[in-house]
Amino acid sequence: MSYTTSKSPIERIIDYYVRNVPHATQRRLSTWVFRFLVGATVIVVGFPTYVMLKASIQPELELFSNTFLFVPRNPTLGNFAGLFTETSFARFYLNSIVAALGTMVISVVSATLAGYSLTRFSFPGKKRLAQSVLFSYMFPPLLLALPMFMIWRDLQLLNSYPGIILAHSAHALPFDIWLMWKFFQTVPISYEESAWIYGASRLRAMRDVAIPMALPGIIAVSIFSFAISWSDFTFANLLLTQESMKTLPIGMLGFIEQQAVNWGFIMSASVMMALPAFLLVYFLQSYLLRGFSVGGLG
Amino acid sequence: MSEIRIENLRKVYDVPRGKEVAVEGSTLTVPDGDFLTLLGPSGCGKSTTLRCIAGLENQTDGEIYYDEDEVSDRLAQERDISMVFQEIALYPHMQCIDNIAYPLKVRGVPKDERYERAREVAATLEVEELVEKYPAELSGGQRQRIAIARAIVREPRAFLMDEPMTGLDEKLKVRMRKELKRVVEETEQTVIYVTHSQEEAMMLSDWIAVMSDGEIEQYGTPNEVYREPNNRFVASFVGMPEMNMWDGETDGATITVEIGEQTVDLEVRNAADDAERKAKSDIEERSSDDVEIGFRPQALSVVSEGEGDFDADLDLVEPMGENSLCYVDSPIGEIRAVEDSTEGLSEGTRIGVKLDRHEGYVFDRESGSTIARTGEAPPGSDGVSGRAATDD
Repeated sequence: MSYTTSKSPIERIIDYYVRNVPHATQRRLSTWVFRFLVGATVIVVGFPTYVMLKASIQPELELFSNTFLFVPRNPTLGNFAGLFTETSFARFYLNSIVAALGTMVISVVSATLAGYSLTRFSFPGKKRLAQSVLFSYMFPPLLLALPMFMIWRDLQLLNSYPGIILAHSAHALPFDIWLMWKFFQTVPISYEESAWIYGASRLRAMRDVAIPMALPGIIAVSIFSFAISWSDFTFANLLLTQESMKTLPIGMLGFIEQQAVNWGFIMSASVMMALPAFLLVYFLQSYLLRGFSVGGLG
Repeated sequence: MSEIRIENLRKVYDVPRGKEVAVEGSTLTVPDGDFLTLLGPSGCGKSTTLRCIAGLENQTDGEIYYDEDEVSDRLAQERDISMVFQEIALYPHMQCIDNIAYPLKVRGVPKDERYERAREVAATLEVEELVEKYPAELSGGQRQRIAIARAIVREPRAFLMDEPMTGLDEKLKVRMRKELKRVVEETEQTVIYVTHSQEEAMMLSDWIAVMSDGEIEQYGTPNEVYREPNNRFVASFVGMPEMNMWDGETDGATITVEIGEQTVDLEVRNAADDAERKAKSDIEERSSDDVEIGFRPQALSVVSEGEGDFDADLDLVEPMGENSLCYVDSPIGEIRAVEDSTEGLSEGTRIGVKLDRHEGYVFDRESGSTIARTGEAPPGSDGVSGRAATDD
């Protein structure tokens, strides 16, 4: 085997493995390697989640003991109960939900209309406009939030739902519009034209034909907008200073900054906070994946 | 169902560098219940014409009439027509029955009634058992049928089709053509059909408008378009394989074609006693003595050397099923001839080419228009293999 001189030692090992190890063994080995990788991923992602879930039902004494317990010895819902009785958690939760739903509605409606117009109408500078929209998404939130604070103050929008919803929508919209623009590009105009021919008005054709065909995009936009609002810290921190208006992320910060760090509260609040996001993605993923194979028709 | 008339239709697009004329002053009439095909190569303006008739494009100039109603400025929604698109455009999120019933739904027909009507139409197109399915579950031909069903579910004033057979394979095209012809005849629709396939045009139409560069080159029955082309473009675009065109010279009575060393003399047919040619332009109107002469490959036969009108080299014989297409190499370029029997023909040998003398067309070299036919007028209409839809 004189020609093997050009091969690196690793290549030689692979060569040896491929040629001399029985195929059955190779197959078994690759199965196990695959299982190991999956297992490792599950542990890395799953363990913190597990700790969060476990800690949320452990009483404080158990949390601060030096022994790490995999199964809580005295499971309790006390942390959750405490969240509602001892803190303004319920209020934060309500605020977050109002902000997220508002952002979702405004973003979906505006992004759908914007995406539709960008693909269906022509006006001067259209392409540049569409591109600059995406560019504005590149601004760090803080850069937007500071001037927003000043403007919102003048408009008396600080500490109000419309204020935070507008801020979150402004942050989510550039990407949403870009996404809907791309989605409507995949819906051929002839589908709407055929609806017009059959007597449907422009709006009706949009409702009956274009929007259902762009539905996966609309779902993606709503999930994205919800997530932006739900997890936002920067805007909420600047624009919502009043305790009763705070959203979850900044509200929860209070659990740390007060006299002591209350891990029981933080963990149970985290569980509660993960819940809506989880449910939203879980129920909408089927829509996301149910391909209306637009390209496969015709 | 209506008669459709367009007058001086013009469509100019604004493009980054000036203006582009898509349709240049087209005028034509489709009689009520007839089938018109707009035939032409891609980019000739046929689809634009159709889209103007449908109201999907605004014409720059000219008028469009459905019967006596001028619809030029009406929206597509108000024109009361149907259209099948090249993309077929069945709504993927609706079951086929909802697709078919959609035109009725828009018009506010109650659900039971529109489903009943949709099923009826589906039955006409033999797709009853598919109505519960989604378009993605159907084959190309089935989608086509559903699309046609949707177009005829309501009784529109006209039925427009924009290259609807493009996505189908050859065999299916032939079947769908027959199907379409049957349905259209049953419903007595006025149809305007756009295609680049002369086969489709010949088979389906009552009338053909041949277009090129935004202008209608000829408007007539399939038979007329094939047998009496107005000009060089129509002559070479319609007919398979393409017509042979040679340069020649005329003195008004005979035409001389030089093929290398050999010359062929052809007589000009007397237009006065030729019914088909009477109303057309005449050899006396020629712009110069330089003409072009055209023979369809079907009017040429390959014979033994010395027995034809001139001799040349047989280059290639291409079987086309029943007959064969012979490519003949000559000093004036490639000559195509269709032969029934290729027995005794071997590629690379010297052969004779015989012309069917009354099948030649004479074109003005400068303007391209047909100015004469050659030879005596034939007694019947034999020797023409093109068939016209009006004949059956």
